[in-house]
Amino acid sequence: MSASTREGLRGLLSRLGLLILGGALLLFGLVLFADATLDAASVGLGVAGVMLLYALSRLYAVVAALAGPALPEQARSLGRTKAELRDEKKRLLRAIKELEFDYGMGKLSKADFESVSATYKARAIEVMRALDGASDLHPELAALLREREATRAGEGGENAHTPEGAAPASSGASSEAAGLASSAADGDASSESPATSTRTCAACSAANDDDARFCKRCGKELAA
Amino acid sequence: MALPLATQLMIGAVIGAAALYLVAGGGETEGVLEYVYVEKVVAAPQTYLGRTIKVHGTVVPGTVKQKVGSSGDYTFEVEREGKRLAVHFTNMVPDTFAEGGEVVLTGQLSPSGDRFDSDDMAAKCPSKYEETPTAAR
Amino acid sequence: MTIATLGSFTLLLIFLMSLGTVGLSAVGAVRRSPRFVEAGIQALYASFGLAAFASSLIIYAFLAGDYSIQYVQHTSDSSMPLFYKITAFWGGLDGSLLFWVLLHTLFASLAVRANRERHREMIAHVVAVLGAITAFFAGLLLFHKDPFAPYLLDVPFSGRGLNPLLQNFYMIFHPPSLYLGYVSLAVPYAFGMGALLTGQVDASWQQSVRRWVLFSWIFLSIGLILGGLWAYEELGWGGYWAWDPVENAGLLPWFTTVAFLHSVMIQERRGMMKVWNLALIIISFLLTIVGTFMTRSGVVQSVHAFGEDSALAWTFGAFMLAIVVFSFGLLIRRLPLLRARNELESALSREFAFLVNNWLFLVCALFVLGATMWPTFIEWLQILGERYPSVFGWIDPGERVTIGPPFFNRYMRPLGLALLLLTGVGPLLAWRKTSGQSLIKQFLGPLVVGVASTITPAILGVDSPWGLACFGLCGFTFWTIVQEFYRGVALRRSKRPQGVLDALIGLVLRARRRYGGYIVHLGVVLMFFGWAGNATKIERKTQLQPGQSYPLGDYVIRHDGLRVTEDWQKEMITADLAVLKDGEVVDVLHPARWWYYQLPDQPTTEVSRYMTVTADVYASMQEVDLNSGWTQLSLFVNPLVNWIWTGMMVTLLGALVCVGTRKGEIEEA
Repeated sequence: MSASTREGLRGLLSRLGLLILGGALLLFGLVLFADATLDAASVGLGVAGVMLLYALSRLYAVVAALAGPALPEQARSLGRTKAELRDEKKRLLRAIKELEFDYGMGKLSKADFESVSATYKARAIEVMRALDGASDLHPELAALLREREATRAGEGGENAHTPEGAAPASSGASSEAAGLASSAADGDASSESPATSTRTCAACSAANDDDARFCKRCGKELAA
Repeated sequence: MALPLATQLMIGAVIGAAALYLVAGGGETEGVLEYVYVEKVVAAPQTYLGRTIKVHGTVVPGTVKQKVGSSGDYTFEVEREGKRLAVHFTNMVPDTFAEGGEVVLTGQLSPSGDRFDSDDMAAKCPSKYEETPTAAR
Repeated sequence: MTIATLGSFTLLLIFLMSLGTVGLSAVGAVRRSPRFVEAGIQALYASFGLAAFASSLIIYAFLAGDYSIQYVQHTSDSSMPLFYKITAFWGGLDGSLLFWVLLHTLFASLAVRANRERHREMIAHVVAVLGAITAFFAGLLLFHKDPFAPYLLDVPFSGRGLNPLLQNFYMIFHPPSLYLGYVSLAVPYAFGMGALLTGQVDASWQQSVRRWVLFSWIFLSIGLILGGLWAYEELGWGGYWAWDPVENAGLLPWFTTVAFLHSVMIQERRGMMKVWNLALIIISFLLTIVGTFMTRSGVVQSVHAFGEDSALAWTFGAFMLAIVVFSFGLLIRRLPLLRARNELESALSREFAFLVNNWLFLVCALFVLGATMWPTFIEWLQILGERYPSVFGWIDPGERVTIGPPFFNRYMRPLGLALLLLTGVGPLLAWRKTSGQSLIKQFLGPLVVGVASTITPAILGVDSPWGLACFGLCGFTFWTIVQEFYRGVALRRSKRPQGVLDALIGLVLRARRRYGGYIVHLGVVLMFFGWAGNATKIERKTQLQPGQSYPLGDYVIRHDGLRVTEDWQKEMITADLAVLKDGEVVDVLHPARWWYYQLPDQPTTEVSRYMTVTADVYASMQEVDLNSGWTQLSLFVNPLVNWIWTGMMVTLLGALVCVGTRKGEIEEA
């Protein structure tokens, strides 16, 4: 549940609480002063009264909204909002986790795993870059992405979505993104492999750096 | 694989449908019964001879008789639009069976065509049963 | 002012308010004016408030015994317990429509409240669609089925009471549970339409509604199983599912929501099947409307009775036509935006398994719909032919037919088994393409278990090929699930040292959707296992006198006597039946007949059963002759039947695992 949802819910609950309290007071007053007997039917009537109050308050809100100050026209949002990007980031990271899991369970061939996982990771980096608000990329990463894009276009792979502004420039913001992607990709395993190129240990299927000679988890020598 | 995948899928779907049809008995219509109202049966009984059908009508009050000793053997009449049909029912009646109530009987006409032999009934109470009309079996 | 006038007036307000919601939101959407959008949202909340007000008014009328209102008089009396008085609210057609409006506006308000920030641009469209749906049902209440309609002349002093058959736990919760499922499907539909209207057809709207669909699916499932349990425990014919139109109506959207829940995964993973997913949402919603129409109008029972009341038919018909034209029109308009990003690459992929799964579920839905509506359709043609011989005279629809359970079973059995097979095969396949090597590694275990579980019952004496196939597929699928869990746990433990149980819990919590889904599959396997038991079902009808015995399969039933008792509500005749196995008395059954004083002509049948893991011994009593002691009995041995209910519990548990979120996980409100 996001913060906004939770807040909305809290607001709803507090308002509901007030209404119920009001209704209870009303009933109490009726019992005390008007000699009403408190049976199921009068409770029902009390609930009805509370509901009526709620409906009236909403009706008032309609009028208030219409009579309120004219707000600026809602801009047609071209870019995506941060929330959406965050969602997409999480979704991608989860997809990567799940993919590694599938690979670990032996459902994917190594080649398939690598190509799919690379596309996901590239996309995750792109999203995280957009989230950082940086229009620039680490030069090495930019080169890597371009190269990957080219190979992917060649094989007609999935998700052919180019990071549109892969302009080379120097900034540290996106290297953080790269780190994020890889650590998230490994899920609970802790690993610092670069995002896009890994070697998988035959013994424990941990992801290792491309140039590693020994597995960083189990220490076995990696096949050439 | 020379054929495009879409074509393969189509062929697969057709084969699947054919397989289902065959496995399910190739157009066997067990469970599909003609559903007729009493007046139609009375008007042309010979049309329905020798076939299992469903007959819909109202139980005529005062005609229900149960054979003593062997419960589950009833005779009564069903009626609709002034036409009556004698029924010989050889099973247990559902809870909702009542004189004046609507019933749907499953069975066959006797060879002479003047009596309906049934052993399955769905009864619908004339009132208070709007929620689950077919619940009683 | 009486409650009746106040209520009717409130219904009018709801109707106007929902029209206002549509108007305000439409203006807000077109002019992009936040004021109007906000007003539309508040109007939606207001219609919920009004619906709640109207509902509490009618409940008040029930509690206070206001028999000047026809609906109250028809479905309650003063002697009913408080609980049944409240639930009588949805006991009849008129009240249940009001209940529908209440739930619909509630869900609409909740969904809008949760998503208005996330889908800022779409929300006005969503609110407009939701408002239009409210307007339809509120209009139906107002102009056609006013639950507040009063008696104008002779006001009766007492109520007629609710049928005792319906005064029952299952009957109280079965309809509203189906209703919750039905009504909540309007929310995904509205979001789908919002996405199409704004052109924001990426996956984000589905993220928002996937949980709603799951929610609807859970309630549909609960509703269906409660209906089955009710039939099994109350009606006394020894079965739980008879392809009754009312139950079928609940099954239709159930099929399509299952299909959606699977195919949405393909879209998330591979960006395929966008049109299909939207179509499934539209069809599911449409089927809920069709279902309401079928069950609430009595059209399936008899068109003749219904023909006198054709306004309802035309209203529903027009509404359904409007939905079809509007939804699919939009879908076609947006087709260019919905092109798939990927192609299917291999038949040995999980996508393909999902695709076939979707086809099968759609076929199931269409078949059940067709077979349920066929008799009605024939009768319609007859009526048209009689009324307009010049136009429709050339059609010869033939006699009206009824389609009974054997016909349904014949076709649904292979479809169900094919789906069970897919349940077993799907998780073993990889996305995109499964390589040959892994194929062997994945399929070996399940195949061995599948073969073993076909042979074992065959040796034990099951000779029905369907039963054997079902047992075999259950074994196959069961082992698939076990293997998935086992390999997952092994993988997790290889990564970090931890106990098996820890690893298992961690696994399920980490990938809730996947493992929740597997738990659902496990429940489905258990249910199929229960259905397979039908292959050796024993069904006997007999008459016994006290002292006589009757052999029933492995059991012997002995009639130990009759008792006549009564309480303040009813008179009861109870039989004592001893159940003997190998000469030992294992249980005594007490089937009974109850005569409520309120409805002396309609005795109810009280079932009694001896439940074990392997079978139920089930007895119900029909006629009794108190002089001679002759008792007419229906006796059944239903093997494995309790596994069905167990399986359903497991399924629901799995679904709850899927629904649950933890902190930081993607929010899919």
